[in-house]
Amino acid sequence: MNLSLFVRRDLDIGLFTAICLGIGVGITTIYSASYNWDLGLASNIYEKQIIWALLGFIVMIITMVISLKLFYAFAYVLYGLTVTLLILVLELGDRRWFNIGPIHIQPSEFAKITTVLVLARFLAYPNRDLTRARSFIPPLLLVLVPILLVFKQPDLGTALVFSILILPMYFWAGVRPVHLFFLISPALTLICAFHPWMLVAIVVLLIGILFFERPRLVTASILLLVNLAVAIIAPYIWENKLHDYQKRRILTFLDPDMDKLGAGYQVIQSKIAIGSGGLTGKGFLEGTQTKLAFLPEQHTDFIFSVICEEFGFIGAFFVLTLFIFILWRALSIAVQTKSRFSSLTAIGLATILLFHIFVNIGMTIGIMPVTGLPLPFLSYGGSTLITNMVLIGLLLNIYANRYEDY
Amino acid sequence: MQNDFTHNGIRTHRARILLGAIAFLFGILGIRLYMLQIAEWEQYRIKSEKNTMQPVIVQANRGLIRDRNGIILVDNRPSYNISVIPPRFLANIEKGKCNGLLERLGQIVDLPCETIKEKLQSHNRYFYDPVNLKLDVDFEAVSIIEENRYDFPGVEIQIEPRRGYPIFDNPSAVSTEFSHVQHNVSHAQHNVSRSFPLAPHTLGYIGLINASQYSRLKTEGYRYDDRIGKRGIERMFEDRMRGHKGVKYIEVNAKGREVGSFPEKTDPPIPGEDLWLTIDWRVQHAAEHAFADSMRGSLVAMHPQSGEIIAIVSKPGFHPRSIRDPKAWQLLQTDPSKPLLNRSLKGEYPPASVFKMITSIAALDQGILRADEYRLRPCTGGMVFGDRRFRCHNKKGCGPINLRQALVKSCDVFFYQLGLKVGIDDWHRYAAMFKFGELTNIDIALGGDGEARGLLPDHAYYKQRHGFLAGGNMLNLTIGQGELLATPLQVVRYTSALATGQLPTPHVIKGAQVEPTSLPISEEVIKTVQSIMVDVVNSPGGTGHRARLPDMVVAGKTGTAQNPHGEDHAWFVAYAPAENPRIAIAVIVENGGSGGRVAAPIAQKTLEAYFEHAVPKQKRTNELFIVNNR
Repeated sequence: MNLSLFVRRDLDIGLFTAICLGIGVGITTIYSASYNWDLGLASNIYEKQIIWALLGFIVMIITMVISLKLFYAFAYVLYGLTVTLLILVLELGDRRWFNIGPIHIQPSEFAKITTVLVLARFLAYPNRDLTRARSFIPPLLLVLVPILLVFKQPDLGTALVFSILILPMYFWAGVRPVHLFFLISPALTLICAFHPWMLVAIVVLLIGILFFERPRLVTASILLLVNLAVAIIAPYIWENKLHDYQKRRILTFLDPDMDKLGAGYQVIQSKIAIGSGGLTGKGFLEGTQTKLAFLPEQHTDFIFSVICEEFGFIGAFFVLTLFIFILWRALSIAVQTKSRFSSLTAIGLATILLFHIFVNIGMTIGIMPVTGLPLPFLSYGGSTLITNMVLIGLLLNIYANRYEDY
Repeated sequence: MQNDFTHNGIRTHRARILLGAIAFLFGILGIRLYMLQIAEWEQYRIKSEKNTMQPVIVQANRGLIRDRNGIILVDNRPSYNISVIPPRFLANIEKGKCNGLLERLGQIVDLPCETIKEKLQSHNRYFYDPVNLKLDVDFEAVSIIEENRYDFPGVEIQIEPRRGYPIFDNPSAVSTEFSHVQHNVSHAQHNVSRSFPLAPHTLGYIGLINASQYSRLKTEGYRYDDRIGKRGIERMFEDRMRGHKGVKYIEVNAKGREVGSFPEKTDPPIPGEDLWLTIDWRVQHAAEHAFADSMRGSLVAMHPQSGEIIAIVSKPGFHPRSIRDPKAWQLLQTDPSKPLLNRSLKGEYPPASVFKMITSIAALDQGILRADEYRLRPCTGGMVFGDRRFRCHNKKGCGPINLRQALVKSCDVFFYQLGLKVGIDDWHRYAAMFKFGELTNIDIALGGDGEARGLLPDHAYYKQRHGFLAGGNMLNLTIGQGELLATPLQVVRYTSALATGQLPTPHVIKGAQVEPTSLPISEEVIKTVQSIMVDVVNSPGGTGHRARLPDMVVAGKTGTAQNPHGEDHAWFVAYAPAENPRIAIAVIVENGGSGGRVAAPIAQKTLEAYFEHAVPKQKRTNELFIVNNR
């Protein structure tokens, strides 16, 4: 494929510019986050991030020029490969990473993308009737495998990414929202199981919807049984099977304030950093919260707090707008693309981005648990940046070939 | 059709819904940001200006490891680290030179100034986090720095709890809250003089968390300079023993220097759980003492009914603290005698003559012969089978012999013949009853460092390996040689089963008891074998006579495993008292030679220590009474 032609006619300039802007903001903020007042200089991690970004662009271009037909044809193979890697990393690697010299390879990063591809391929098959179990169940199994493997590492945040990404893809493929509600109802019951009124509310809601929807008797009874089992078993396990330290781990995950030293401290300091930024911020390199090291992990998970402290609400608004723009581009690529497979892939990739963005920013402002999910394009870290560039490469590739059908 | 997907109208409709969802989520973020940054800005600005409070971690005391009587095997002792906060320190030295402050500090911590610089440079991620220069420094260096605090800006002394081994570190101070054992402790004090702390393989050790563990565990409150259980019990019960860190808040000025504290905001640490083991330190100590450090091998002693491990030794030993010295650790890892290997769980050896009880039980239980029948050909010091001569260890021959005498003298020729009569299938079936070739599922191996499985070959194994089972293979198996492999732990479990007729599950953590399983073997047969094992030790000329105790009947069996790579491995298994077994023991000395000569005395000393310390005198005399009235 002729790359120059490609750039002139088929490059999604808007998306590409937005990504460049995002990475630029990221590197600037990393510089600031690692800047030291006493010494008057920054540590060299921003240089490393620049190298990662350059590598990322190379990887992005490679992903852009590989034919989408190949991604379609090898979707199952790629998926199988990454699942194998996920198993191997549990057995041979360090549970989460393969360490090859100084480089850590994290298979769960690739697995996100290959899972999207394999789901897109399955759902793209013409004439799938997704009201039938035969078509509805296999995608669930396809995501369940990586969920379990990643959960075992244990990496709860990434496991959640896998569980979320199937919902919009189902929706895009034509599954009715009511069925999606049925699908996530056990999770809702699990959350509500510990509070009697919430439990009553969810049961009433479920029965009400079942009454109006009138699904087949088998479906309805399985659904009720599963929810009932969750409602009974979850509190039982909580009371009788979990050690104190395990309970504490779950509670601090849900409510960081419980752990004043770890997650709770981070969130409190992050909120102070963000709030004290005000409308216009304290100025570049002027953030007191970050400079006096009140805020840990400021260049990775809490990079957004640094932006908010130094550039204020205006800076935060700019970053949010940038992300909305990126997501809107991904959506409109999904709408314009002729091929079902590409369209579904775009939706899945957009979901990955959205989940990371929402959970990470939500964490810094104290409305989401501390999971360790990085902020796409902005957080420091080579492997996530490379993965996100592959993801963008795929989106640009889909855009360029939006009139093709296969 | 409802999901006519290519229809652009439907797609646009769905895209609108998704866009709505995105807008909703970003709306939440935006509103929240507006609240924090615009609505509540004033409040957070003040907080940020007053943000002089910095949390300081207060380490939780790691749980202690105690023996079955509560005597502390592993505790925490304070140690002092000298560390540097790079920016504050670097601001006071001249660039690129090794003089003044750097030189003085170098002298105190005994490090060349290049090394200090390297350490400071390699740690540029967390600016204000102290970088450790030297761990566990002596008190003298600490006091020099303390006295001249203002000459050393940015240099800090940190107290860090370390693992201590009171019995080893400070034998004279071994104290206990249990008055009834106090007497015995003082009694044993004079001979606490070994080179390593007790049971290093089983207790394990803690070490600095490594990069990947840290990234996996940081959400659980670990820091990059935390210590974490690396092996053995320390590793397996990390979650129970580590406790929960506390936090105190200090007041710092704009440059981050400490100027005050907030005692009311302190969140004290929660200490970790203590672990109580089934090990009795006095028996453990006696066993390690009897087992010279120059030998390689293992000893496991167990309460035969419950499966409680009383002593577990693997030799050569090592000092858990060596992990802090990279050179010493490297040496340990490359040492050909593998001191880091927990031989009790992971050493696989041919069980040799110790295994002859299996063949005997199979023969007796199948009614092939009785214990006092002279049915097999007399031993002439060897036997020709196929085109090979299989020798008896007694070159002169054992003469006409019955099963009882054959076991007592450990006659190989007798067992060659018996093995052929029993056949591999029955032999395998009986050996499998004692769960050879199966994991013992000891509590400290599950999910931990693991244990070896051993190997119990059956007919299918030989078919697969060689295409057929040669008679010679069976001859080797029947005397516990050939492909057969077992761990010392499996062998002590087998000895316990012989002593009680039930197979226990071994465990080291107090209270982790699992009900023993009965053996599908007639009680009569077990009784017969038990009486023969008594003879092995107590009859004149018995191979196990070196394990005799003066006031008690010991039952046992020797084994001498031929080893193509060198001297024979010496085995001895025993239990005592014979009538009412309270302890079962297995000893193997690698390349030790004859089991009766080398391994039996080690077992005897351990048994002696056990009955000396662990069993109240009263009870012993009662048992003695029963034994004497047999």
